[in-house]
Amino acid sequence: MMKVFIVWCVACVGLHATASWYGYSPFGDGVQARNIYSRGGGPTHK
Amino acid sequence: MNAPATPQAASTKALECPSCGGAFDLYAAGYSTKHVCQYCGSEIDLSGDETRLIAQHVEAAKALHIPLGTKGVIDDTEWVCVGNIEKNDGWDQWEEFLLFNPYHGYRWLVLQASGWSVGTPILAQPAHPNQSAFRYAGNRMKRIYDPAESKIERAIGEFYWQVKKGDKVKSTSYVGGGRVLSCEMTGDEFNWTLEEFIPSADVSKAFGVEDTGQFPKTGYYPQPHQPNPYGDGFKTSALVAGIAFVAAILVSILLSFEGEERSQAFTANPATSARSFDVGTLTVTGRARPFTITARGDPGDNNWMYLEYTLTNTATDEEIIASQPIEYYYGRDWKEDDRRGTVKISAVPPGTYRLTAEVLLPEDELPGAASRQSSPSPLAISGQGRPVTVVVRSNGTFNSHLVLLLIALFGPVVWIGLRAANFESKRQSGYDGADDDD
Repeated sequence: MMKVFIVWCVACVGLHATASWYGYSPFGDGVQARNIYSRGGGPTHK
Repeated sequence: MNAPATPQAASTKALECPSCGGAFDLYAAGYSTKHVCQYCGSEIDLSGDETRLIAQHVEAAKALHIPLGTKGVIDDTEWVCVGNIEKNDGWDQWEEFLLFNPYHGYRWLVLQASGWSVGTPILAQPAHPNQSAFRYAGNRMKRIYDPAESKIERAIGEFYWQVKKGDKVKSTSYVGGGRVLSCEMTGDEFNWTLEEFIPSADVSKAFGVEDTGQFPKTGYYPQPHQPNPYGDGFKTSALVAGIAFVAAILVSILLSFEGEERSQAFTANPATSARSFDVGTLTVTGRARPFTITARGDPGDNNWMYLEYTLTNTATDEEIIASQPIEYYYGRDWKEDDRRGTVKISAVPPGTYRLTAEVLLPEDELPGAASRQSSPSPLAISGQGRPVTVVVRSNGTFNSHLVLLLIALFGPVVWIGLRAANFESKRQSGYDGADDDD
């Protein structure tokens, strides 16, 4: 059982290292459309 | 479980029951003082030169889980099962098999609904059994079963003391260091036995009998000294997961030293139309890389500014757009300070990229304001400049990686920990002193 968990941990770290090496993000690429901007926060946020 | 005399040597002797004529072997000849016929239950005195019938009974022979005379190896020592006692304390019923080896003496193999234990009679008196706790062999022994009277429902085979069906004995038990110390009290005589857990599979393999199992297979609560099957797993898995997480963080730190970095400061003046500036040109070679763009600016009190980035591949003119608000708001008892922000772009393919930033100010949106590319709004002319500094790096780590990794690594650890806690909770439910402080 512990061997399986160790293999799992190694696989997770390997996946993390690969994703970090290529700069891949699992939650979107950060790219946005042009002219989609915020008009500020302030008191209306409260 | 009375304390036995220390055996020197013994031989097997074939005898017949004076009552029913059933043949039986005397395995601890010279040490056993009594034999109970396994066929008819008659009690035979062995203390003299000749066997003598003490009490005659007519009982049907009962099949024992470990038949008398069965040999088995436990801890590299061969034992022969010479006696069997069945006890009942009104709550539980259990069996005790008396094992004998001419060089190692006696042991008890205790079969409870929750599993098996190997008991070694000890001559020492670790404590007075009215104590609720004491120290023994470096461990704190805590009482788990209050003194209770149990009755011998059956006694078959040979024993080193005079025992018979119907005898009553008071006993109590303590646990500590993964072992149980049980004490049988007869008047002022205290007989202690040190019990250790033995897996049912080991008993099955040693004596060639059916594997009765233990918790959770038996559905009973775990024995007080049964090792928590998840206890060591929890500690080890937590350690492995911790090492793996630290390794992942080190990988992230090492990768953060790679790549190029450019920075540019700019002041956006509401009174002018200049809003765009070049941050710098970076080259990505070999593999795709993440881009990290960090902006730090001063939009003024209770105000905002907005940055729109354009990352242009100088060879293909392909554009990647990203944006970042810079805000600073506060009141009497609150504050929203977002004067520093970071935006990350994932997996930018190899190539040469130019990053430009365009600043948008609130004055640009006031009624009557002209196009940002032409003359400024008359209402904004008195405004002060808004400084901003943009830093771009062709490296970076996405925190989502680490969050996912944290869940993937420690999720199983939490699961194992919950199983371990559940095991202990069920074990505690079987103790008399479950609520006592340790």
